[in-house]
Amino acid sequence: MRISTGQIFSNANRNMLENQSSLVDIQDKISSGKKFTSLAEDPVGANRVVSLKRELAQLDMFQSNIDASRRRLELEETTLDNLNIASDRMRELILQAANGTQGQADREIIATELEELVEYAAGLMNTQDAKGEYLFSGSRGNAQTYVEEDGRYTYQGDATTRSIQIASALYVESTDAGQSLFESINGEPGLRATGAARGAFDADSLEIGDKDAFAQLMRTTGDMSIEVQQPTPTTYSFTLRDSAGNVINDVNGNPLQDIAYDGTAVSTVELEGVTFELDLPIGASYPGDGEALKLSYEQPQSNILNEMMDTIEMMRNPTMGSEELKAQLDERFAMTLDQLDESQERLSESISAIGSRLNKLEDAELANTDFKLMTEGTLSAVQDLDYASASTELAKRKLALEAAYASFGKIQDLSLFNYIR
Amino acid sequence: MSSSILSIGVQALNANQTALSYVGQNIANVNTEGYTRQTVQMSTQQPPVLGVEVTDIKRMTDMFMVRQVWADTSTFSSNEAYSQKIAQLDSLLVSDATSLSTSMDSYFASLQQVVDDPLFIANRELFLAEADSLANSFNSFDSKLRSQSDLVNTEIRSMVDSVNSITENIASLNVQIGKLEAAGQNSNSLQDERDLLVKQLSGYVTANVTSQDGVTYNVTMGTGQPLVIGNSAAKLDVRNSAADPTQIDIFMSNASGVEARVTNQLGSGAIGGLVQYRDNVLQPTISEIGRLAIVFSETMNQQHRKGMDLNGEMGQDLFAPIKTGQVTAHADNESKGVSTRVDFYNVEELTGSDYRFDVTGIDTYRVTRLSDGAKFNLDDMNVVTSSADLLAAEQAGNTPVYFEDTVNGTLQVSMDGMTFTLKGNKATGDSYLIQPTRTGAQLMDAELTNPKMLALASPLRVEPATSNSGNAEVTSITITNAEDTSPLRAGDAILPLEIVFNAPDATGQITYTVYDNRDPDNPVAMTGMENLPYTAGEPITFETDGYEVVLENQPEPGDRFTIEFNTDGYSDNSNALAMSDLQDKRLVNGFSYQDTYGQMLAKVGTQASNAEVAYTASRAVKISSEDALQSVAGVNLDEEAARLVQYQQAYSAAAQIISAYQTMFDSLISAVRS
Repeated sequence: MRISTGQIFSNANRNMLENQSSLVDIQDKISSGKKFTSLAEDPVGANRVVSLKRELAQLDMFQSNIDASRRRLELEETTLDNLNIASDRMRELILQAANGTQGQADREIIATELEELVEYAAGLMNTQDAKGEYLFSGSRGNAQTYVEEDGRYTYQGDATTRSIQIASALYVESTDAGQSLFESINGEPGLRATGAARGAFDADSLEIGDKDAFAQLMRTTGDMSIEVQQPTPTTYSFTLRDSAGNVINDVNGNPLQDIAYDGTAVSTVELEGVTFELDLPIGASYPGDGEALKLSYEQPQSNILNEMMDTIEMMRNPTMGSEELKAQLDERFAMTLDQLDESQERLSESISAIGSRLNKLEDAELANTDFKLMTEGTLSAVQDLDYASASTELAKRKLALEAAYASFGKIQDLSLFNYIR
Repeated sequence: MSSSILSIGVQALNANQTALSYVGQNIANVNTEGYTRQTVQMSTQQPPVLGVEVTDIKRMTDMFMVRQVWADTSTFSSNEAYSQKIAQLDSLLVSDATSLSTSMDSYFASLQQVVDDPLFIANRELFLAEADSLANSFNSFDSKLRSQSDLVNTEIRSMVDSVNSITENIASLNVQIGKLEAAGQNSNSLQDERDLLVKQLSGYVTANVTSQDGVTYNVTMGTGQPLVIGNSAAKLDVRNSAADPTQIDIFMSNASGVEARVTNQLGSGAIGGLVQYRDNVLQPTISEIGRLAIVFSETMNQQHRKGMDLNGEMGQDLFAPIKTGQVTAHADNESKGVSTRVDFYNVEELTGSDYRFDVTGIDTYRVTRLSDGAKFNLDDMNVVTSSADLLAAEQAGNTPVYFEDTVNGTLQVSMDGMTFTLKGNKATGDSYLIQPTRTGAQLMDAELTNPKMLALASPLRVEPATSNSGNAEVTSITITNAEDTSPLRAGDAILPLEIVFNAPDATGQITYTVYDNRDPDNPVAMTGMENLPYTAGEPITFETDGYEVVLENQPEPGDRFTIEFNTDGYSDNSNALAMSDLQDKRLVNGFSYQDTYGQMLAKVGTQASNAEVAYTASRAVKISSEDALQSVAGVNLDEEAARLVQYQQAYSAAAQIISAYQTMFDSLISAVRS
């Protein structure tokens, strides 16, 4: 084929330029360390890089969440440990005070120390984190957990805990609310009346024979409702139903249905483990056929601080040698020890729950670290340059450029004009 | 006959001298672009006269190859312009510094900080700063794309100017060459010049040359619009598009003043490549980023509004709400003063495409989705008879659907997450360009500046009673209505409430009743919420007040949960957690925010890689066709050197003829003299 002189030069030129640009290209990659320096080279890889980097960013996020949760949980753990130690000391002191050989003066000294301990414990319950948030106030972190007024400590928080994400589908509670930690002492169970005729139930008349049986009963009936009927204009009757609408049987197994009353005497209701009186209305104050009131089970919770304050107050009252007072005091001591047990039991349950959460954090951290290593590996495989093959490639392209130079040098001085002078 | 020897010699001298001068011309122009080597054609004189004459100076070219080069140049230039531009976009997208995904990562990382510590003001401020910087990233990304779009438009303008000057030159060369040819003169260099101009023209548009008389070039462009006819050249003009004034269109007017829009009829060539890049890559990318901005802003806002801030109020918008897109009436529409708008009923269904609404006839309309060309005739769509039904159909996902209100003359079409509303006269042939997401990234803005107004807590608190003996616990509280008019926001939701579990019914199913507990001494069962069967994990829905509560595990009869406003519950992080969960939610038409971004990268990357392949291939094709032409038309110096020797020798020989003639003449004279 015929070749024009221009072609010889432009082809040589083009080849050299192409070799040069491919050399620069590989050099670019080597200096950036990236497998591709534009999306065009690996569009799918570019997409994967975005999601892998997001995963890595999320793993970093999880790690910082784990760190934050761990700090908080460890602070909680330490605080609860200290509280436990304080409770142990309280127990010792109560045992000491309960010893019959102690005189009033000794009890006074013990009471003072107990008072100090209560204050110390309250201080622990009011622990704030480094940023001033109350640790045990639930979602009311701005509110001091326990506020003392007239010797009574009232819980100001709520029962909400905060969850934090520590892995892609794993959340952990990073706080505990004082409601469950400290409000651990079960008070006397009772019944609460609501509804139009709630006044008919007299709380003072409530007599609980067997707490467990009572609780068991209420657990099967749910809220009890009392229905009042007026079969004739002058007669009245009531029916006691459970929350599913079934008639409740009394302690002897007789259904409490259509029990007549006339408003002159109170009706006594005897149930499993509990009796109470109903003073149901008649006449003008009668609310009409149907449900007059509801009775629901309640069991108020208290905390060791208040119970201890009550005990301290009792200790300070001189017994003046009265056997009765002495017996009351002994009873109080025994109860306080039980309450301390209850409170400490809750504390140790919580401490072990915190421990297991810390373990969960640990596990998540390990898993995240593994996952991070794996993701980093994948990311590196997707985007990082293989230096070995890249340097081979560099050498190859360099050789090609040198060959282009050399061959150009060889042909450039070939010209017929050199021979025909 | 004796004079003929001299005459033969002279002719030979002349002929070879001419040949030598063209060898010289060839050598001189060895590096001249567009030069075609010329050879001198000699032939014997017509018998009986002896001698040689130069019959023609021939351009050694091949018209087929020339045309091939022109055609390949068009394709090459188109691919070159397209791939150069897309490479710029590519390098913008590939950079970590401008990556929106990285910005979103920092946004969510700082959101986690407030999840960890919702009360800490410094964290809240940091998060707001990140939200602001995310919005700025979107803005600057968008403005970079827009400035590239402006640049492309400027380039198109200047290329159109070049085309105009080239076509004028071709027309005037047509005239000059015609004159020279008519006078029998050599027009070779002008022809070279004209071919070069056509090649340059091919670089901008597809140029087809026809030449009926072999002298005059008639040039048509792309799909056949005449650019040059004999001595007259049509003029191209760049004006704002009638359909979309932010874009430019190319118009052509010929000598008789007839004007036509030719934007998409230029064939290939650099202008075509740029138009293609602008319409198929750049604008869709701007819309795509816009969609991401809209979905991000709106979904974040929706979640943020469901929270409670440090003032105990329901959350406001975190980002500036982007509720509407852009609609442009075609400049040539018959009906003027028509009011149009496009609103979003569900940003999660937006597609990122542009749409065109056409009035195809009397009471017949069509919506075309421009990304895939799908056509939706309103006749084939579901129709509803009230705007309330339209809303219901939108919420149920029964789209596309339309509603025509004949009383006030509005037409509403809902599809793909948006509602297009048109109020006014609808003249046949009118069209409207709907760009729902084009301006999204421009409009993104972090609106909230007060860290105390970050709504990170749940507005509701659901807690078990201390006397509960079952295992039931609250797993989630979901706000379903946080509109401005919602009872929760207005503060007139019925709260507190109490969920009380009842003894199992006859079938053994445990039930619950919800009480209005505003008077704790006299709770009133809520209508329709008495003795409902309880299933663990099923949401308990409060339709009117707009929220749901989910309980897990088994309760005992008599167990109760209270629902109340989360007064002072500022340490709660549940709404912040819900906001951070959005990162992995599939909110952008079935994909997460960052997946959408990644897909956009992959799409542009694929386009760029295809462009590069096409560029490389068309370059090779162009080089080979240029090579082929060069091998015919290009000057080879060795060849010319040989010719030089050849003609030099012939010239010397011819001189010898004259010298021989002189010797003969001298011999004759001396013979006569002696």
